[in-house]
Amino acid sequence: MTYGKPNTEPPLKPAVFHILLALSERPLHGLGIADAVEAETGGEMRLPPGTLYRALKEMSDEDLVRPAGADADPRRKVYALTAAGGELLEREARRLARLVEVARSRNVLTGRA
Amino acid sequence: MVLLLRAALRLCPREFRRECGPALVETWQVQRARARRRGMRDLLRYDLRALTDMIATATALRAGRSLLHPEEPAPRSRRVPGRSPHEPYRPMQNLLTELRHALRRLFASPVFAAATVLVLAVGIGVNTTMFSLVSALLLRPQPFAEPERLVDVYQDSDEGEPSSSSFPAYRDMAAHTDLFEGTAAAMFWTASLLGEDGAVTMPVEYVTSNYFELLGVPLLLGPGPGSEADLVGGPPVVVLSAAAWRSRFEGDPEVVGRTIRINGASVTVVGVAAPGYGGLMPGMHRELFLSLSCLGPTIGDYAAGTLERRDDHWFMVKGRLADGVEVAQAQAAMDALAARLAREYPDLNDGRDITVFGAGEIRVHPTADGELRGASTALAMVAGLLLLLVCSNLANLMLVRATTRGHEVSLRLALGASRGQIVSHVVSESLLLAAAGGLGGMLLAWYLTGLLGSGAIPLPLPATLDLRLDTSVLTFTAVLSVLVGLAFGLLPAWRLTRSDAMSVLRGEAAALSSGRRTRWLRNGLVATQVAASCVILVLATLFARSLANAGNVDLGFGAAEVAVLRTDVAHAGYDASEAGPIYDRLRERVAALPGIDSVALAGQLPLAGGGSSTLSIEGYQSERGTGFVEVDRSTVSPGYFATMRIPVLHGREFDEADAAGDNGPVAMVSRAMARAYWGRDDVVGERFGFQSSPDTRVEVVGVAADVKVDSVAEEPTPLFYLVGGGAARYLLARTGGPATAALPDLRAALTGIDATLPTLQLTTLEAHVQDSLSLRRVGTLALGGFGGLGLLLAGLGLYAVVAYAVQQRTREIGIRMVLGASARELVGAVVREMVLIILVAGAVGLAIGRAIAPLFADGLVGVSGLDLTTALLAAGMLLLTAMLAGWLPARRATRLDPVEALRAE
Repeated sequence: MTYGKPNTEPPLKPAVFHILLALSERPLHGLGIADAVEAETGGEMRLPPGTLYRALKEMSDEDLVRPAGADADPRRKVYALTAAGGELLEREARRLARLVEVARSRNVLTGRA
Repeated sequence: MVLLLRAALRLCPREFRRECGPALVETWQVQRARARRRGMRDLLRYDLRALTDMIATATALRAGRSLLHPEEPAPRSRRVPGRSPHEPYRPMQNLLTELRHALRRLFASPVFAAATVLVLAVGIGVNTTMFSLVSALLLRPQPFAEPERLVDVYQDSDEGEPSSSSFPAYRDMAAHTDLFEGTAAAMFWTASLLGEDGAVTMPVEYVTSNYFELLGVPLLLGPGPGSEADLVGGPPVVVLSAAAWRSRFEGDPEVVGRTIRINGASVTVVGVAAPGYGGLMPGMHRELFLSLSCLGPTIGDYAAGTLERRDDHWFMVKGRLADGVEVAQAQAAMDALAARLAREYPDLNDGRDITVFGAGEIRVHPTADGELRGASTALAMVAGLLLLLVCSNLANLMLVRATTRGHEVSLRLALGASRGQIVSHVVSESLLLAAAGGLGGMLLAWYLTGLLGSGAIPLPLPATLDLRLDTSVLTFTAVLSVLVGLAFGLLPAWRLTRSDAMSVLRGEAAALSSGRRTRWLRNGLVATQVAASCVILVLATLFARSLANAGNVDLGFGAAEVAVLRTDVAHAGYDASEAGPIYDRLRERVAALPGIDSVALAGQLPLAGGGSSTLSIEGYQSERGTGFVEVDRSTVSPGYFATMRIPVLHGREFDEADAAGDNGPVAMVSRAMARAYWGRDDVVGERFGFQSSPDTRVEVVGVAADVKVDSVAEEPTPLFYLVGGGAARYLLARTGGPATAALPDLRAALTGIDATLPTLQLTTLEAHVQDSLSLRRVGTLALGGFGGLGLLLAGLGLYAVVAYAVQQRTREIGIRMVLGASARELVGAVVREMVLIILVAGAVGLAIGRAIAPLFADGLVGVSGLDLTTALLAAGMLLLTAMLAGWLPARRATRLDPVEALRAE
């Protein structure tokens, strides 16, 4: 059993992945992230506040995101992606892309939009 | 909800709270506001989701579970002691053991358990009933096919609010086949169905023949009405609701084709609607769906004429948008239609808009939705307060109970039990209690909804409430029970495990009970109870005073010693022209009975509403400038005012010559009408006309004192009287003695004329007045019950807290007494604290009561909102209870023997 801070590895929990993805475009505050995730998934994924901030706190503890100043409203902390976060996002995205490729090669994706 | 979420947030570790708390709450508020804009359903769904997520988050954070490393054991989690690493972990088994233990502990103190379950059952039962009401009226979806394409179309009322449409306007709307795939109209009414046990009056709809097809409500039986049923003179046909089919026709599979008697007319059954469908108004149940061809035979030619009249607005219109048509397009077309109608019929339709409401925008009616939401919110608030009271009380009880187990708990903690385990002990107990309470509550709700739905509690609605304990209601109860269980279990459990194990083991029970935080917690709980019960008390006092006032209101007539019989000659096959002679004979017969002082007939009784007419009054211009006003109407026979003891202020009462028509058309008016339209009291000799028959001028021959027309709460209402009446009338007989004694004679006189004449109602005028107050009485009783229960709970809570505080400080009191302090001073300190709590909490309660009292103002008589008397009454009751609750244990302490006190513990 290893102690200390292990590196986070794919596969990621959907909430974590979607937050990284939302931040890859630009730094956002919590509510902005929730909105972006909802928009990017066409309303499929809605992040309730509890999960959202729990994930943000853990991700910032593990240096995947960092605070990037505040919005006009001081309660709204703005988060930005760190290098480690970006790298993790890329690896997870590659992993997902590989899986989609496999699905495509087996014609799973035909017939549907 | 804000409180619940904040409470859930409190469960999270402090570090998380500090870092993310403010942002989290803000996000939640914004998301919640958006959900609210999407509607009640979305709001409810969002709240539930956010809350469960918050609790799950708190649990995960406490357990140290990570989102980023799901498989890694969290560094902060402890292994469950007592289980070897080789033994597989069986959470379910643990849970069962836990529950079994909890059950055993509860059986050990049956009184505590029974009292708790009872209190919980009341709290949860009342809330479930409220929710089933809210769900029926505001949340439950209607069983329409593709409801998203259904729209409501309303013409404005005279006041300019979207209301209901005239039938010719409906035809104009329906002509827009480019917009609507179809349109249907329905009119709400009541009708009496002749069964084997006499006639039953029930809410019905008169509908166009395509009604069921348009809504997509299938028929269980029968072909449904054909299009010829839309024509005046067409075959009168009816579709039964499934409930009516089962309850009134024993579910007869051959019912289609049968002829039934409705309001004396023969109507053929052509179908049974799908189960669960009870008409356009959600939450209500209507039993019959009559064709438009029934209007004439069942109501009269005047009603059939509405199909051609643009000045009657009797119909609700539903449209199904054609493929690809948006609400905005339909609205644009309706705007054009409204403009065209205003041009063609300027005196009727000038400024009268037509509004299209999209799917789900309207629940009951555009003008009623707001009121309904308000009333539902107010009721739900009272029920919620009661539940809050129950929870805080039980939390207190659990705290006391848990504290007495302090030694056991400390020992377990010292032996290595985790805090979580101790917490789960207490919580499993509270959850078990809550589950039992939830079951009890469901039973209570089942009883209460049955009572409300059966009409045993009269409601001011022209329909039967359709309450169901369906999945959404049962889910609500289950979630509520769990939340309640958590609410009153978690708090004490948390507190209990925070204490310093060693000091408890050393026997310092005080370490557990009198720590500042515990005191704060307990005082907070008591304060919540006091404030909540104060709010309920304020409302209960308001309603009780209003009821007392209602009983003393001057009704405008003498209700004592009047017997009442209602009949309808149409049920016996007579038509309207034969009604007059029959009623004249009835009047003569009853007048000849011994002990009858005077007799009269009336089409309507005071306090029961009735008909109205659109009048044109000479010399008066209405605000709309149309020259027409709508005034309540009553049709009476000569002798009515004498029999009812309604003073005639000017002119004279109707006489037999008026009834015979010798004096031309004459009327009497109420003083309120004289003042409203002529600006003075004596208007004898003035004239007015009817919109429906412009050539007739009616002369006012007398002015009568005002009576209450619809309810005791109303202001003096304009009302005019005509002589005569229709097929259905009330017979009123003033007796020298108790009116009940005359009732059998009245009935005999009626059947003596024709044995087939039905007795639709046989009662006394006093009973009729009481009936009109019954809703008030039920409301007052319910609120009074809540208030009493709340007071009792708050009193118990106070008693427990003071008694406990005194007991815990017995030793201290003993020492100080030995040192020369008087017991009175010491107890004074405890009591002062309580008094302070009561004063502060009471003031908060009064303030809240003041804020929400206006929500109930419509139903109140002689009181308006929170006044000094009400505040003093409520505060007085609260103080009395509090003093009693605090005084009993305090007195015990002042009688302490110092030596005994020192030996305590």
